[in-house]
Amino acid sequence: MLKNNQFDDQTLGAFVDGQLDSKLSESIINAMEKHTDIRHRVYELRRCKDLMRIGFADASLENKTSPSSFKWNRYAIASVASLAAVAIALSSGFSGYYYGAKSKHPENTAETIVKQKSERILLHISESNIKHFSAALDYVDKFLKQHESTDAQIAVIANAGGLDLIRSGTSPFERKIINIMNQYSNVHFIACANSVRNLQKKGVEFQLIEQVRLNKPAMDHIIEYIQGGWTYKKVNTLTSL
Amino acid sequence: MTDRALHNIKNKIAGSRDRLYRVSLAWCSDPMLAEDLVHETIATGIDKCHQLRDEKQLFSWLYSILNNNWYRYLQKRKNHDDLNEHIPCENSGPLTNCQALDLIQQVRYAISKLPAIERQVISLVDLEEFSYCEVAKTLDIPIGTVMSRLHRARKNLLDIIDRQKVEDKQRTTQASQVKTEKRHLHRVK
Repeated sequence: MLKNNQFDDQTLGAFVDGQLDSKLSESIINAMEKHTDIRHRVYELRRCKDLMRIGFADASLENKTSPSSFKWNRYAIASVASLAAVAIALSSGFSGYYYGAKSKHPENTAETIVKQKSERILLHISESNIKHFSAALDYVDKFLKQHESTDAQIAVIANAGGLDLIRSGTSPFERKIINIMNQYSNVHFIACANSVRNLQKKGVEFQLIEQVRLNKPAMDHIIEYIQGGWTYKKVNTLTSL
Repeated sequence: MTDRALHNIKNKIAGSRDRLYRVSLAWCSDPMLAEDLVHETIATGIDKCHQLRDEKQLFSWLYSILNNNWYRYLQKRKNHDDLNEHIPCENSGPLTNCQALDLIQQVRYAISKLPAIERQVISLVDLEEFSYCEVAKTLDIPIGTVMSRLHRARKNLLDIIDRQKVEDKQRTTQASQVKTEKRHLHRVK
C-alpha cells in the first residue's frame, strides 16, 4: 500500500509542472485516486499555478498602469476555468482534471471576451449539504428581489452531491424551486450531465425538477458562462447580498 | 545565420515584449521598472541576436538577458539588499493600502512579498511554462535549487494570499460592527 508521504512536495510540484516521466506520473495519478491527502496537495500546487496565471494574465505594456483594468483573455479564462475544474474535481472525484488543466502559452493578442453589462451570477453547488442548499436559495431569492425589473440574471449549476437540490421527489426545496422558476424568468437551474450520467450508471432512479436544464457537463457550462461575463460563485463561499 | 533568419529572430524578439513584461513585472513588482528592463532586454537581444546559436533557445536566452539586467539594476541601487532578502514593495503604492484587494492584486501583492530568487523561478515556471532544466540554464543555477526555490515560493505565495483573505474578512467584520455601533449612537441622540 502506498503511503501518502511517499511523494514529497517537490515531486508533486514536478508532477504538476509536467516534469516527471510517465511512470512516476502514473503512480502519482494512482495515488491521487486513492489518497485524499495527495489529491489535496496536488490541488494546492495547481491552485498556486493558476493564481499566478490569473495574477499576470493582463500584464502587458498597453495596460501596465493598473491591474484593475483587467480584461478576460484566453489565458485568464483558462486559469479560472482550471480553478473551477479543481473545485469540481475535488467534489466529484479526481477524474479528468489533471489532463484537462494543463494549458499552453496564451497569445498576448488573445481576444477580449467579456464586457459585463448587467449583473449575472453563476452559483455552483457540488455538495449535498442542506445548509448550502438553503443559503443558495436565499441568495437567489434576495438577488431576484433586488434586481426585479432589470435584466440581471442568476443561474444555479449543480453537480455531484449538489444534484440532490434539484432532484424531484428528494429535494427538500422542490416546491420553493418550482415557485421561484414560475415567478421569475431570469433564473436558471442547471444539472451537470456528467453527474446525472454517473448516477444513472450506478442504477440510481433519477428525475429532475421540471424546467431544470440538462444538456452539458458542469465544466462546459461554467467555462461558457465565465466567457459570457458571468460572475462565478461557489455556494460554500457565499456571503449574503 | 542568414540575413533572413536574423530578421525573423529580431521580429520574434520585438514581438515578445508582453511576455517579457509579464515576467519582469513578477520579478520586480514595479510597472515602470519592468518596462525599462524589457526595453533594455529587447535592445540587447536585437543587438546581439547573431550570438544566438539555437533559435529554439531564444526565450531562455532573452530571460538570461533580462536576469542580467535586473541584477545590474539591483547592484546599482545604493543600499540594495542581498537578492535572497530583496523585497521591493514593502510599503509601496495603493496595492498595500487597498482594503479589498481583488484576486489579481492579491496575487501581485503576494508575489512582491517573496524573496527575489523565488519570484524568478516561480514566474518562469508558471507564467512561461519553462522546464526546470530551462530555468536552471536561464538563471545559471542547479536544477535542485530550482525545485527547492519553486517549492518555497509556492508555499509562501499561498500562505500570503490565504492570510490576506483572512485579514480582509476580519476588516469587513470590524467595519460592519463599527457601522452598527454608529447606528445605535444615532438612535441614542
